[in-house]
Amino acid sequence: MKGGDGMEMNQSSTTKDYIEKIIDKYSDMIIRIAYIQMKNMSDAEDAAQDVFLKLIEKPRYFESSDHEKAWLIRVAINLCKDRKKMAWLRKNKTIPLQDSLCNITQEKSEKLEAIMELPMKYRSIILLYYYEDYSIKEISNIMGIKEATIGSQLHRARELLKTKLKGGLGDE
Amino acid sequence: MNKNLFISAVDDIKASEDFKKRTKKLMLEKSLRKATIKNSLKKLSLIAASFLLIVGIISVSAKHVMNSSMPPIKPSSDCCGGSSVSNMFLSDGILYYARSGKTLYRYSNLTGKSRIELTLGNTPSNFILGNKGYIYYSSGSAIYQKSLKNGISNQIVKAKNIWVDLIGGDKLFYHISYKDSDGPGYSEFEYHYYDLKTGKDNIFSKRSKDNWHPIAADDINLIVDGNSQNGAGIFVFDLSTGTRKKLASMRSEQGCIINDIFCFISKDLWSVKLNGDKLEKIALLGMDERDFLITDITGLENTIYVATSSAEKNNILALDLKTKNASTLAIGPKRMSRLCTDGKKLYFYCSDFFEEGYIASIPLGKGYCINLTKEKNVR
Repeated sequence: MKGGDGMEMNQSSTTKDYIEKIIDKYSDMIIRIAYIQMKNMSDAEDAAQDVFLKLIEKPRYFESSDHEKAWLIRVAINLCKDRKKMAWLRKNKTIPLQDSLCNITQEKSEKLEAIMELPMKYRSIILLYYYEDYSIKEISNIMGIKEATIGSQLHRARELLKTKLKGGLGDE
Repeated sequence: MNKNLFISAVDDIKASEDFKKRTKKLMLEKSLRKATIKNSLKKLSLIAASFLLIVGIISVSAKHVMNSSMPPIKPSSDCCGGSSVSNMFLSDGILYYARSGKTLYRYSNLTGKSRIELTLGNTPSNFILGNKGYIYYSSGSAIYQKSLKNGISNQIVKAKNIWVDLIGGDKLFYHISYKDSDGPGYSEFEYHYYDLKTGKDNIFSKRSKDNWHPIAADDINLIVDGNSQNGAGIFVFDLSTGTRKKLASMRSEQGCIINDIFCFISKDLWSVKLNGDKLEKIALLGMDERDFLITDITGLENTIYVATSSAEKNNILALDLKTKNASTLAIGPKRMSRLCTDGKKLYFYCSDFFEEGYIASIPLGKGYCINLTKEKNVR
């Protein structure tokens, strides 16, 4: 297996280093994507764990750390989408934000709640565009969706946010 | 201000130390288990390298060829690393498949090899569609028609931000996006169809905020999923009269039209008549299993072909809408999708998530059921 920086993973110590590195580098990002999609921390952690396990299921080569990051994001979004479709999970209820993220302020919680009320397909686009700073073209490549569709979904998400948050997210 | 607050709120979502510890442990355990299995298999394979095993492999291969009539195709991977097959279609009995929507390959039944038919490079092009000896694709500023016989390309329509959507009933559906004046993305759309027989261009939805995603079409009807000022859901456009009717309030991305019935995936499998009557859920084998998902659908004449996946198995099912007979056509070790058929064979792509997969096929109408989980030579 090769890691994002072209690191070979032949020995167990190297494997351990790789796992340490990958978890430290990406776990916050994957948890954020999963949490925004799943709406509760316990489901988000389960989904995020599956993402990392997929990574070591079979050898794969990443051309760069950007490629590795994009792969993780794609798998995370798709895994969450699948888990949301599953009947047994569909019955699960959303846990209030302040129960999941105990230190979050009321003001921040309102913003996050507005995002989490958006349809699922808009949530990851908003997160990737505004938080991860990806362009529409990059999001299109990551998600395997046409650029035009990403563009229109981003626009629609912003329109919806305008009604939920006074002034939307703005584009300053 | 809101944007900064949002970013700082998202910053508060973090992986706990306990989560990191648990995941690292799990990953390490799994990788060690894999290494142990790999070593054991290596030893076993040395012992088993006997004449008997070779005979066994030959018989398994022969059985596979008999059952599927085509060995699994490992899609060529000289495109983007890790990308999977995004689209498949048949033209004059030849299989074509696209990777990342940007490189089209032609598979030769004679040599068993694939060759690149078309590469769109890094242009912001979208999916390549195939129909009756031609392929259609967009460069973002024009739509081109390329003959699969002589390779000649013609520009058929030109506009800024123009994208192909679908081919159905001798019509090419496409749309033009208009940029949002006060932010990123597109806010208005105009939807057209180009008559491939007459070369006439028609608008079926004028420039507006209405957002349609064409799913399926026949000679007269176009089914779309979308958002309009009158609500969201699945709609049918009657192209002969220019009228629009809502078929269902649910959302869908995949479906097919069979004898004036639209069958579609919206978490479950549904059917609805094109006049809006009889919206029904279709029961499927395995739908009560854990993690059940419908991954793809296609149809021809009276039959729909549905790929399903659950924690226990992956299947391709055939359902005759007239007789209501159902049968299993394929059992796969991984998810199956990208179904396409010419009525003689059903082709499909077998792959989990973004793993490299393979394409296989099953002859139709002969009562075959291919079990790929038993095919040791597949991977």
